[in-house]
Amino acid sequence: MSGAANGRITSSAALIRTAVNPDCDLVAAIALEQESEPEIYRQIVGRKYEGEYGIRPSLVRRGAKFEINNHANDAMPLRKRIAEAFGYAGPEDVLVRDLDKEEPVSGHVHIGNLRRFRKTQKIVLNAYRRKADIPDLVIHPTLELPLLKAPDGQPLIRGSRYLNPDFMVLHRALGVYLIGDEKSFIVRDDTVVEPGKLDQVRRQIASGTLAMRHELQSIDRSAPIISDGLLIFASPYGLSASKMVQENLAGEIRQIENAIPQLQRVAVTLATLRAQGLHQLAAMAPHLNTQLRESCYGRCIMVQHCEQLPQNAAAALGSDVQKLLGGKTPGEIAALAATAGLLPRRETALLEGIKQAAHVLGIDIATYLQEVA
Amino acid sequence: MKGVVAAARLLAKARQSAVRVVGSYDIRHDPEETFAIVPMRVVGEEIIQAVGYGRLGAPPQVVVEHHALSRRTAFLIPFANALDEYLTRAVDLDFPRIYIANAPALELLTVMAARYENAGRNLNPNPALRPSHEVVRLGYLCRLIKDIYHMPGQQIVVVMTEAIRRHFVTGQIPPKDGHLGALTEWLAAVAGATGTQARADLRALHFPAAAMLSREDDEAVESILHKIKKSKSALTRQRLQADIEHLQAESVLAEWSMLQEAHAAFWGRDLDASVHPDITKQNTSWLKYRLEVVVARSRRAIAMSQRYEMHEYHAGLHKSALIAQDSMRFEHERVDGNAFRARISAVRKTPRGVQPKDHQIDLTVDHQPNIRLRLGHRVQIVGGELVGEVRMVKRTPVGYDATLSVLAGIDSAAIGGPHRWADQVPGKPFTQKYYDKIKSVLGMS
Repeated sequence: MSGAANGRITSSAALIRTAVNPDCDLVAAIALEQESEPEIYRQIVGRKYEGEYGIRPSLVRRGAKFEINNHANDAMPLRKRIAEAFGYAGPEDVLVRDLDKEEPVSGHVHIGNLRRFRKTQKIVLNAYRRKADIPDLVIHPTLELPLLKAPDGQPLIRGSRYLNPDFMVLHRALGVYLIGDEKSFIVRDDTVVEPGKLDQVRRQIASGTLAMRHELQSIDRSAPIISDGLLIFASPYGLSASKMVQENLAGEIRQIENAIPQLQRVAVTLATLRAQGLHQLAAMAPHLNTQLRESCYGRCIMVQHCEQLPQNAAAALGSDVQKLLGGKTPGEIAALAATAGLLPRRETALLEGIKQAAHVLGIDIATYLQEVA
Repeated sequence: MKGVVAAARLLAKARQSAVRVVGSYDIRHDPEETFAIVPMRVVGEEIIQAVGYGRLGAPPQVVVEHHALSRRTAFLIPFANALDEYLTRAVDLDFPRIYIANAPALELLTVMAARYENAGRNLNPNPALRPSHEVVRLGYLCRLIKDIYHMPGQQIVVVMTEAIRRHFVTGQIPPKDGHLGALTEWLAAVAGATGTQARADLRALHFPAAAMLSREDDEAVESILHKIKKSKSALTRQRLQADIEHLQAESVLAEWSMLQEAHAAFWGRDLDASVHPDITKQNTSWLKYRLEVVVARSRRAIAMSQRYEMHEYHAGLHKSALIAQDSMRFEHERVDGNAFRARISAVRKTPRGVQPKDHQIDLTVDHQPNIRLRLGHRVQIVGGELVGEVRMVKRTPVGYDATLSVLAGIDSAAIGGPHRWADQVPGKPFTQKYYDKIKSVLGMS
């Protein structure tokens, strides 16, 4: 289970989780409330979370080391990969600005982020106006997602609404920046060894790209709409960067866009519940929809809670079981089977599917339904 | 198949015990001696830090490297030798059988294969970091293991979690099935047991699923490594190193015992034995040749296309053999539309002396929701000789009528049935026939 050390989730993580499961109000509420996830689990379930939570130190170390390697010597390894991918004569031609060094975020995080955001805005504006000496590579820019606001104009997520991508690279022909991310996942034969992790990365870049779109729109309404993102992974030999990959992330960006109204809707629900005197998320939880999906496993801390809820009984066995039962409980299916006379076409097909499956398993339908009901 | 598995999942949940979805094992019972490999990686690094190996059923040999990021590989030499010895011995006796706990462990061996084989070809300028020839050989053996695993119907490498999932369905959500301990709980429970779900969840909660140390052990190792770095006393460093090695060995032993438990539960269920002499023989001779002669990865088009041809052939052969020996598997194929039941309603033989010969038979196919009978499709009576090509197919109120041109086995065609029909058993690809001919000329087995 991923999560920050303090158990709170960042703005981009909140967006990603809501995008993955947009029908679940609970996950959106946890993201909006910005409380510690294990603490929310403890309050709702009534006991301490016993599973593994948070990123392992060895993984954090590896990721940090990979970034340090890439940013060493004025980001020469990264510039090499950019030069190859974007057709520069050599890495020396790639102009770089490291906002980590120019505007280190220390002390008050919000003010630090704001300062860095102003600087990023200026760089983006100058690039769009094709001014001279524009950096080709910007390390750790800060962007803002203005849509992360409630209908009353207040920030939607209690914490920061700033996003901090790893880097952005200038697309010289368009005069806009593409958002990129560095991940220490190993690439072998141009394929990521653990492709399951890619979903999360793509959505992470998509939220940054969406913020960049908004930035460009604020400069010029007719600015190009970017959908491409950049990925840099580790080679299998040490922590060196493999070649840069440019991907179209239109689908992921659309998912993130869809997550924003869901967050806004849940914010209104939470405000209504607060007005009714419910202040703790644990007290509000029974009034929020939950939607258990296979993708929740390994991603959401509340999965053990959700699978115990009666409405999730079929979902707790997977999407194929949900499909087999067609939204009915095994008891309802048994009652249908016992019905004399003609059934509607959908129910007949449902029963036929179960009958056939029971036959393959070597059990007659009556015994099967008796056992599972 | 998905519907059947979903129905089995509901049943397993009700019974609190895993439900079988096939009638027979798709792998043969173990030979006299087996070999198991339990590797442990450094999280996120794809670097091996400990390996347990040896005969399943006995305590394992364990080799560890306390500081795996140092890239030292000498600790792997005993493992490399043991694996090489086992494979060389087993290909001459019967056939080798290698057990691996889960898919991430196999993936780790695959990474090792690429790394150590390459290290043998592109020597590190620093002699201290060059792997020994045993470790380079280990890379090669790991590649062979990976290659065999991806051959359809192969009988040598068994990834325990995947083998269990091919035969049984648990009453938990599919993502949880990746955990060997949780799977074993379901497999070992008898129908009507109580609390299987809770026990499985508890095991998954406290033991990682992916060939790695538990969170607590991992953090302890990280912290001890930090202390070693700071320590100035050789004695302290030695003691701390022993602490790490103890934690690593303990983790290997825990996963080893989980693998043994899963192995016993898997073979203890009431499935019929599998018969696969052809594929086992081919797997073994393929491996034997490569143990004697180091064969590079096929990169040329001809070699690769030969490999794909053999892959297709083995896939078809394996599927046909399983359908023939297991009526439950036939029913799976029938539900998916890949097999059907039909009686022969008419046989029309071409009279003697008339050319070209076109013997035909008419089939009355039983009703089934899905069917994949198309013009030109070649089908065969399961376990029989009669092979036909579909010439006509039409739907009737009770099923289908079809006409086949008989390609082989016309003498066995007689009105009656019903018979079980499925795709034609594939013939050997030309390349294999060619090798077989050369072997018989040279008097090789």
